[in-house]
Formats: sequence, C-alpha cells, structure tokens
Amino acid sequence: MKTGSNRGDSAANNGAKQIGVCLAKGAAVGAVSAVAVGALAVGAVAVGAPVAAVTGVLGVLAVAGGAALGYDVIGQIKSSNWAGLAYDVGSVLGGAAVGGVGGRAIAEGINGVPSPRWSLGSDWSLRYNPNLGSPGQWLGTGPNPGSAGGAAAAAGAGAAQVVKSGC
Amino acid sequence: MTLWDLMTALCAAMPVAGALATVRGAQKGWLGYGIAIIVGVLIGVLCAWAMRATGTRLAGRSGAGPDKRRLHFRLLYVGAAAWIILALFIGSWLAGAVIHRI
Repeated sequence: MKTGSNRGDSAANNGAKQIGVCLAKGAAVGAVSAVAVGALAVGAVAVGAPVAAVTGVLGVLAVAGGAALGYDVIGQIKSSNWAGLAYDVGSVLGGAAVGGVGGRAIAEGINGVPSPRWSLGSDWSLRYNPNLGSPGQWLGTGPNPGSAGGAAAAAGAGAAQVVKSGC
Repeated sequence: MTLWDLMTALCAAMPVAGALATVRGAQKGWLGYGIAIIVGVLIGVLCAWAMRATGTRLAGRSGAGPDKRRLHFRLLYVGAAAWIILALFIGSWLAGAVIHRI
C-alpha cells in the first residue's frame, strides 16, 4: 500500500524539470556504469582470467542488470513515479550509447584479436547452436561487438539502480 | 556469445523480474514470492522459446539483396527488443492475476 509520504515523493518527482533531470542523471550514471563494466571485463582477461569465464560473468551481469532494471520499472509505474521511470530510461540510453560506441573495443579487449565486421545478420548466423559444441566451448568463443556492447549496456543500466537517490 | 543470445536470456529473465516486482508489497509472504517465481519462470521460458522460434522462421525469409536483408534483420532485432519489454509486463500482469486469487 502506498503511504502518504510516498504519494508526496511521487508528486514532487513528477514535474517536467525533475523528469528531465532524472533522465539526464540516469543517462550519465548508466554510461559511467557501462564503461566500468567493460573496463572490468577487459581488465579481468588482461590479468589472466579465461575468456569463457569472463564472457559467462559478463552475460550473467547483463541478465541480472536487465532484470534489476525491469523490476524497478514495474515498481516506478505502480507508484506513478515518472521521474524514477525517466531515470531508468536514461540509464538504458546512457548504457546503450557506451555499448554502441565501445562494444567493439570491449569484445576485442576480451578476445585479444580484432573482431570481424559485425552486423545484425552476422550476429544472427553465429547464434548459439548446441550441435556445434558445449556451452563452455561456446562461451570460450567470447563476445562479439554487439553482445559485448549489449552486455555492458544492460549491466550498466542495472548497476545504475544502486545510486538512484532523488529520483 | 551473440547479441541474439543475450537478448534471448534477457527475454527469459524479464517475466521473473516483472512477477517479483508485482508481488512486492502484495503482502502474500513467501508463498506469494514462490508463486511469482514459478509464474515468471514459466512465462520466461515460453517468451524465450517464442522469440527464438519466431526468429528462426522470419530469418529464413530474409530475401535476396543486402539492403533488404539489413532491413529484415533490423526489424527482427527491434521486434525482439519490443517483445522483451512486453515479456516484462506479461510476467507482471499474470503474476498479479494469480497472486490476487490466493
């Protein structure tokens, strides 16, 4: 049940200015978080972590981040906190911007070799096929520029939920 | 790991997130959370399967020509992203409907 205080917070949070501020704040935090996730993944491989393990952890962080974001989105909609929802949208946009620009660098940093030209069509043709090997072998092929960028974006947007005060 | 694989995993996880967000504050205790997880996992598996099956079917019709093929896959991935968001709300709505009956 919503409390009087929560209703007050929601009302205070739903001005156009506050929504804009939260959107920008979410974008900034999402972008910084995505950079941190990408840097950590590349750094882990640089100090000797196996590519399969780093790829697996990156995937888990991305799914956990996406789930944390989805959980918060439903909560913000239920409490009509549009500034909070704007923060969530901003964190996705900020994370996606970093993922889009830096996905190739993250993938190449993890794999240690230049990634071939990436497109949605090539991504589709290289999707997981159980007939070609075990999940461990599949993770050992590392991320491609699209999945590296997408994983950094989703994990970054999820991590942005931790510092959401004021929205 | 490809972007499509990552999106499939997100599609499976989103209904669970939506279901858990719905049960929060419903004061149904551990039973409510258990039911939300079961509903979320079931919907998540179904949504991921549907996304993968639809993708397989549509990708086979990508047609000739690089421009057509590019547009086709762009639509496929944008549609999948929309489906992931929809899966979040399906999980939330179905969990809410089940939980309010207990």
